[in-house]
Amino acid sequence: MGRVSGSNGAITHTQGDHVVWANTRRPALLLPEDAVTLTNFDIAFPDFAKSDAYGFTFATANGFDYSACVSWVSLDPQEWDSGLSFVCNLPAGSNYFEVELTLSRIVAPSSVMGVDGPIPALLGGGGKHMPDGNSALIEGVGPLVRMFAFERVGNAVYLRRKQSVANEGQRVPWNSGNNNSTGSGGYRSGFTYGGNPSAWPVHQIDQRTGGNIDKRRGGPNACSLSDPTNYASLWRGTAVITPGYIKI
Amino acid sequence: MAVHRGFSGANVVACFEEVAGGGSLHDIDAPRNAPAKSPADHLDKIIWHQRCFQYELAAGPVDVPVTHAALATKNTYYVVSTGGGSVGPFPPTGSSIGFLVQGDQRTSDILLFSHGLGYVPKFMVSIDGRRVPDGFVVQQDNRGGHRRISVFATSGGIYLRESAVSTDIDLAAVARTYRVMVFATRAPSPSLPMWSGQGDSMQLARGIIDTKRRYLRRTGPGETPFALNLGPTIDIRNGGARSASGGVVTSESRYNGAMPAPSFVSVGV
Repeated sequence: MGRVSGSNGAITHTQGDHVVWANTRRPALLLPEDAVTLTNFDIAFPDFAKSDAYGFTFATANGFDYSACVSWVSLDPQEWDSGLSFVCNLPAGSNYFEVELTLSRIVAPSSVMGVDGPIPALLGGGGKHMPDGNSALIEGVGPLVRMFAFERVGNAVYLRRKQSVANEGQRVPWNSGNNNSTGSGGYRSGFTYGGNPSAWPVHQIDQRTGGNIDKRRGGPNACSLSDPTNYASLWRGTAVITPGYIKI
Repeated sequence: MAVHRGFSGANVVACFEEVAGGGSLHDIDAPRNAPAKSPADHLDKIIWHQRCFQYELAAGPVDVPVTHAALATKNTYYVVSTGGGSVGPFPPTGSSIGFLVQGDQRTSDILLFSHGLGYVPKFMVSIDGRRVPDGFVVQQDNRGGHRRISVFATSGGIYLRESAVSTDIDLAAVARTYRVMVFATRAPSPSLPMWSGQGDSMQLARGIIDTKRRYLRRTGPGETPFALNLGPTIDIRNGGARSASGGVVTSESRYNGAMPAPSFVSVGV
């Protein structure tokens, strides 16, 4: 039998022995009538800071006829934090809010070696997410990861975006002196870098073989170092932010 | 003092703490009844209000066992040799230079529960009594292989988005059990009274509340809790992630940040 009972300031709804609801058992209060709906809401990430890696090898000691080169884009170790971007205000007494997101990735970042297609998306495109704690990973694979968080400061909600690439020291055995020349007129196979020696090779740019022309970095038949990648990413969709209150 | 009042002229039923100012008990415009009239201005005084989302259970809690599939390792050579270049699974021959990428990646969506509501509902999914953050690290191995999950809803079901990564060894299959709750959005029924008893249950606010149904609320003694987190549950640092829920942090091996687990409340139905 359903009933409402009151005793010593406690008000309880029960059905038989089951407590349906009570003023001492309230969860989060959410006020849908004060929800803010943001369409064409963007969560964007910039391209990464990048370097390059260059490989050169040859089969004969004095020429370039049996030589080859290969070049890659590499990602520098880095930490990026967008800071807080204003999203909306909450009612003055609100101390809690819930975010519902329906987003699609409309600008996909470039691919990473070993992965077919762009950097994997960790959100289901087109589905509704209700991220617990209002924060979520959004992209990641290998040494890189991206996230966002909606944060409350007073009675305003802000968006923070972060991206991170691991720093695990040098990932490639670079040639001594970062040079394919031995210093005594000869050559040596191996890798050289442009930029950060701790960067992670992630995207092959070019390969060249054959042709009796110098394929070392900077040589007349060198592999291209023109960066074809763009790891910027843009998610767009609808964000619904519902204010609420939790009695702690 | 907590009171439970209905105001038929205003179509409002609410349970709240009165504010100062007095006035008629039955007049929603009386200062004492301001929380019932303007809940957004008195959220700390509201205990229950028909205009709040009720977290009415549409389905669940249901425990869903999932066996996450293994992901085999894979060798991909990005190499060039004096005899030609290649990208593929075969090692180079002759004088060559390049990289070997060991491991594979797979992104997939896993249906947890078909709710059949025909609209996209609110929902919650937990594992081991803690709500699942989007990006939760559900599995790691000692070589850096890992499996991350997030949860989303469509008008048909509740899904996991899974991102699995293997390394120089296979990422093993793993079994996990997820608890799913789906919440209904209910509009008042004009034909029902503000407060009534029909059959063996009680209805409030033209049917918005019915004691026969189940509503998310804080758990009592002997009940199974479900942690609802009150702050950020995800952080990243040094290319790795930490997720936190119900007072427990789970960190990928690379993560070198210091995000603490947020506070939480234990809820259930």
